[in-house]
Amino acid sequence: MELCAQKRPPEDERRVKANARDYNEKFQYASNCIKTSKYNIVTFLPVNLFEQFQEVANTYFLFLLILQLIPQISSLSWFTTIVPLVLVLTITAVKDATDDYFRHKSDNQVNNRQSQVLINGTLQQEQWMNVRVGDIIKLENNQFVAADLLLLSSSEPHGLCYIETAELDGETNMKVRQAIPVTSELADTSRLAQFDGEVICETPNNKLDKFSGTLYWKENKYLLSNQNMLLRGCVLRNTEWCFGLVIFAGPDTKLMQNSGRTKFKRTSIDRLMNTLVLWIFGFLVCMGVILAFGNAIWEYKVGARFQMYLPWDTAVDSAAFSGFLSFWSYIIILNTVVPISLYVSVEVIRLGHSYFINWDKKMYCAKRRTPAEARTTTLNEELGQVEYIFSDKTGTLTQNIMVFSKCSVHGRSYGDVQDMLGHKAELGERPEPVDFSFNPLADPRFRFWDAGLLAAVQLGNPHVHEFFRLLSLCHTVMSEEKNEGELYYKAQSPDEGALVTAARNFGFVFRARTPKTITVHELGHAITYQLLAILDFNNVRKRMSVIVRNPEGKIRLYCKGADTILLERLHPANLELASITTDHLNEYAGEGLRTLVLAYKDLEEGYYGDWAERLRRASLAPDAREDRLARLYDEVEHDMMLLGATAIEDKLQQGVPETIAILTLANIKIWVLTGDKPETAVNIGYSCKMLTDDMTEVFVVTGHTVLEVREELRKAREKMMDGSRSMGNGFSCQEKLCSSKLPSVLEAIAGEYALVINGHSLAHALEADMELEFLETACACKAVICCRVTPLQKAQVVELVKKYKKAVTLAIGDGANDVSMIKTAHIGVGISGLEGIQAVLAADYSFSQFKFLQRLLLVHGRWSYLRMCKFLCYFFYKNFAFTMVHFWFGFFCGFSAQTVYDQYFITLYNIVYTSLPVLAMGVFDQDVPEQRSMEYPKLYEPGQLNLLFNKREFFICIAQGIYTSVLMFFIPYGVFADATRGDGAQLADYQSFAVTVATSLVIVVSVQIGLDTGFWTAINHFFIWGSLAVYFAILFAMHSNGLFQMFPNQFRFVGNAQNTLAQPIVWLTIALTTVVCIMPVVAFRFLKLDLKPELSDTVRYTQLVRKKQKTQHRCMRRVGRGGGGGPRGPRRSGYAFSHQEGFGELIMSGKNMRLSSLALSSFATRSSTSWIETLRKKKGGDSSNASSPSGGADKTLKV
Amino acid sequence: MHQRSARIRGHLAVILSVMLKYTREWCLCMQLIDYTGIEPTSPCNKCLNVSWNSTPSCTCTINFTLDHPFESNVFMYYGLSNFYQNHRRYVKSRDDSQLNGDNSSLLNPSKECEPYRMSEDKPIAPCGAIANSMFNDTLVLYRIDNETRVPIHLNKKGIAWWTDKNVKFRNPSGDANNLTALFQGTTKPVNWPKPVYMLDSDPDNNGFINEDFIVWMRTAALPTFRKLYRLIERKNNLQPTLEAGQYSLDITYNYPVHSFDGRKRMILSTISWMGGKNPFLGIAYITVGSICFFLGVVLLIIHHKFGNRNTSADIPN
Repeated sequence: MELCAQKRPPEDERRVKANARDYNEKFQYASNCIKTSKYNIVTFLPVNLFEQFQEVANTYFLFLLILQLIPQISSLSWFTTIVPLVLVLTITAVKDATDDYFRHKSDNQVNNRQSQVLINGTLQQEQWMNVRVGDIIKLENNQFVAADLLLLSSSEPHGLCYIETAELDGETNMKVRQAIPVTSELADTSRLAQFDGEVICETPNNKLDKFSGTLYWKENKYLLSNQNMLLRGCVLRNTEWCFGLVIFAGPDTKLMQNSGRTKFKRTSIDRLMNTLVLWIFGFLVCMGVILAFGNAIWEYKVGARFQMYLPWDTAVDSAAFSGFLSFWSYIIILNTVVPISLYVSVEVIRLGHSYFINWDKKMYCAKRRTPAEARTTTLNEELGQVEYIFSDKTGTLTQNIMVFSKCSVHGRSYGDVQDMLGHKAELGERPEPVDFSFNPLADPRFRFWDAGLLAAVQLGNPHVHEFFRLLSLCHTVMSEEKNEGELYYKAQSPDEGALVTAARNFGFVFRARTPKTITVHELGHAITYQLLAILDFNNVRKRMSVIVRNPEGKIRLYCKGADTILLERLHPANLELASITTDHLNEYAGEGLRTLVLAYKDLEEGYYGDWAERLRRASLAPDAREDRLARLYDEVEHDMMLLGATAIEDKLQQGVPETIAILTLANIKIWVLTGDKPETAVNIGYSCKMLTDDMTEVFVVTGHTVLEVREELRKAREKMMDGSRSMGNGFSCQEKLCSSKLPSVLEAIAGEYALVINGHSLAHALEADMELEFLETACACKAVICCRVTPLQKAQVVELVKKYKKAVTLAIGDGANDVSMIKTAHIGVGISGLEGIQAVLAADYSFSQFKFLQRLLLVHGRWSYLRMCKFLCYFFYKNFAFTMVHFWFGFFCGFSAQTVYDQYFITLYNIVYTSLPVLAMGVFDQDVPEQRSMEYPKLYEPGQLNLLFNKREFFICIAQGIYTSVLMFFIPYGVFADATRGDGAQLADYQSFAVTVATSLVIVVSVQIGLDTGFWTAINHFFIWGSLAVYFAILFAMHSNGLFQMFPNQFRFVGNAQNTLAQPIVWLTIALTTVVCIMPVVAFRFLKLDLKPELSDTVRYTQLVRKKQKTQHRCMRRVGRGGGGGPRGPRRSGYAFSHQEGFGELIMSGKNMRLSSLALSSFATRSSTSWIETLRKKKGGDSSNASSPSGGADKTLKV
Repeated sequence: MHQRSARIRGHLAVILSVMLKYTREWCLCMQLIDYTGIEPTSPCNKCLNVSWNSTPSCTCTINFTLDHPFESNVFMYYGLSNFYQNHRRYVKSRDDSQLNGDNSSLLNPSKECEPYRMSEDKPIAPCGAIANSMFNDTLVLYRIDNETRVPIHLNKKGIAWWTDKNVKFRNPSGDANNLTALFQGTTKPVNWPKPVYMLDSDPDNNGFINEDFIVWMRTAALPTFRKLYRLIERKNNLQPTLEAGQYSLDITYNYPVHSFDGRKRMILSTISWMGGKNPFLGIAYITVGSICFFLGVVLLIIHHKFGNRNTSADIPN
């Protein structure tokens, strides 16, 4: 393990020679061993202690400890400070040690992974940590890449290999990497062992998408780019094996270079706490100064004359010096106002809350077997203060699963689930799905509920047939058939996958393709179409087409694309059909479905020949090739015949609309930041009810220049202002009432608006001179959707809100592209979904469903905040009540820094007598039960407004503490001044006084915690009664004869407890003190409950009433996924299609066709298939367990 | 609920306070005599500026009258004011190990005792500022019965806590009858006229277990305090312990307090089950009780007037 820690000289460039360990050794490159742990057994103690003493609080107490060792000023024994300090240090050290242990474990696990390294011409199993720069290693399918490799060769043709980069950048689609041609032939170990090329390349850096280097081999130079690199963290997919040359290893890899130390997040309460501690410290110094002056004056006036009985210390020569010493003495005894146990207690409480989150069964996803996890334990209370949520879309709001939901074929809509009365059936009461058993090739996972469509297929409806034929032909999906009939589709976009799968189940099975043909099983008959051209998709065209020749020789163009585009390109004969289909499209769009329109066109042989010739020429044209192609495409995709439309449901995560509705009610603003297209994002906005058709207006900002964007934003604001003015006329009196409350004019607007902004516009909007304008506009809108944003912009948006709004932000996402925003926001939440674990690793909280966010914030966050606030209030109160007694006593003991209490009481007060009850409250307290906080989202607001603990509340607590301390001192003072005991002896001796005050203090703070506790568990009872019991037990033990006889100088209070506490007058004093301390609190709370109840009080009260009256539960089902009527206003397109350009070309070139699939299509006979099978099995045997059946959706990603 | 408890508490407090006041007025008597001698007319004025080692001792006599008879046992206290027995340096200036009879501490007292640890190269027993400043006036009480002074028996034992006398304070181990030998090698505190083993003739009340010494060593919490000096026990049930009438107090004035504006008092008092006369507690209970009661009523009225607003209709949603 020590290998990891070596220091290396900085590099200018990296030179790596293959198969030459000796040569590479001299550069001292980092080995492939990684180390994320901080300590080992030897260094743990010193390093950890050093780190802990960097905390101001700990240093402060160390300083106090040193002060206490100076006899002239030591007003307390050293152990009063060292016991809590050691306790605090130990708890922290144990926590650090545990954390580090797990880091060691995971390091070891990663370092000990096996990989095959080519050493001396043979492949040997080596641990990852022993892999060196310059080694050639072999990777097999589904293995993790061990280091940053230069791809040399692979099992696939042309040295291609496929990788999944989910863990690196979060993108789940596979990426292609290709070896440079010269090395792609080095496919066996003997030739690879001869390879002695030298790579000279860039130094280690964190740019994931760039690599520049040169390979020198056999006196030739070959340029290397990122296209040739396999980075650590990727997984090899769909590739039997590949060889790579290690370029960067261990800490130098791009993955490790990217995992910089995460910035430590602090909560606003943390910051407030630090400020308050500083203030308290200032207060402490003030008290010290006052008392020091008091001491100087006293010594001058009284002490100097009292020297006959009490001479000054030898070192003290003047009253002033005595005052100076007394300052330090008072700093020591008053140090308990700056509570050392505060930080530790806060940590313990947060840890408890984190465990509540981890253990919450209602946040456990049974399907994925993932519980919620609080990865950071220090942010819990901030969950109760969130005002802005920034959400990713794909994988967070949606499942990234596309489901073929509805379709419209030749003017008839299919797909509605209907019950007996013809109404749309609600979820849950669905009838049986359509039975596809007639079709042996059907995908068993596909569900469809409208039997009418299948009936139409079986009845031979030619429109329906053509519809599905189009779906089975017009796409760029690749098929794979592992066993006869077991089809796997590898779709480049999930939309296409859904469409092709739908066609497959309805009897139009896309079986195989070659660069020139497509084989489709149409209702059992294999038909091979000749693929003439793919008119590829791009974002401007918003459509794709294929031109095929059917076995009869007819040429037909099939096209699918956006409604806005396609409806304009139809043949005029389609007018009537188009209008019906448009109605259907509107309906689909209203439900938030993604729509595509399908059309076809018959081409004449002659025309096609001519067109094809022009296409060929255009594609060879040296300049403006794209434009020429586009024009040709445009020409042929014209006068098409409408077939129908498809509606794909982008499956939302469970409960997303409900969650968003409730969070909105809780006054949390939700912004969606997505890398997706505007269409898709808007679509999701509608389907999860962030956008509704009832909205007054949805502003779409798409400007390309600064001026355009500024103008668009200005217009949007003007419209909102106009809207509010026109609305205001009607309700002018109401408006006036409201407007005084609302902070900004823009936030007072009536009507609901939404803002959709594009990435390139956002770039301008985020510039320094416009960001405020943008923010103001955005905050005035109910919903904000930013599309096509880069990861960096996501972070910038979050940063912007953080900077100007002083609000707590939460970012939630699941992919690596969300990492930056997750790290930037106050709270980052990772969805442990399909897109790798990068987001989860960067996040503070993780769970598997967006809907759990509701519970995390409204229940856990709210409670955490409440508990933390109550805890802090009480904590400051109890420490002030405890400490300030010394201050008052100072005036009666010559400002000599004499403590009121026994030193053991001072030692144990904070860590034993009063720690556990307040911890129990901080961990378990709740004001209203969890169902209510979901039912009344408004209960969340106090947290956002920071009402429960702020400077004002702090001063109230402090005032209460000081009030208590005054009574705590002066009531016993009044009683004791003249009192005598029942047996005639004097009562007012110091020790009895100490015991009386201490006992009343413990009782008063216990009663107070009882009043503060809103939710009693057995643990609360146990801790409160237990603390009192422990107090008395320890008191009697400390004052017992036995201890005194062993250490007479340490336990001077012998016999005091039994003598003092046997006196009725002492108990009368304690009772009086308790009543006087508590009475005002009770009265005040009672008044507040009656006159100005908080919402939570009201809810609690109604709860009580409701329990009594047993009235029925008020159900809050405002939200649901109702279909709703058609949209008002202008028609909205439901088009969305997540597709990328370029795959058409790839298919036509045949580059990505594997041998097996090529073979499959050319030898479609049964015998040849079995031959292929044996071939595959052989291969499967070679690659042992590494190959698992991996379909498009299959994820056998094991970390 | 709060409000009900507040009211109950109010009632309780009133009852208790009346009870307290009642018992006090009925049977507690107290006589307080300041004998510092600040006023020039005071008989003790002449002794105002005594010092520790003035010989012979200054004595003075103060006559006083008891208006009421003291029925039960009477406790005689001396009181000091402006005397900071609670000063930090004073409080810690003792060696409990030495006082507990530990022989090694006897000869090598704790450093806390400085500067009263060693005197003339010999360890001081008992060491420390507390012991050194022990109160050493002698008070004797006479009843003037027809011009004759009848001495009243003052019991000097039973004035210290049992635990102090038997656990906390012990003479060095050895022959209890020969304290002089036990304290061999030590010297008396600087201010004392005689060593600790000569405080009393009774071996049970001599050395460290001398009760006057023990009482002094139990330091007071406040700068004005009183300490039990002597007991006057009731002889029989027919006569009050101290009848009303003329008394005279003989003071051997050794303890200087004038330099720091201190005052010295002698107090005679009877006590109840609750201790001596203590007006503060009674008044406090009456006041607090009344406030609680009043508050209870006010809260009740407020609750009836405004409390009904708590309905679910208030919940905004």
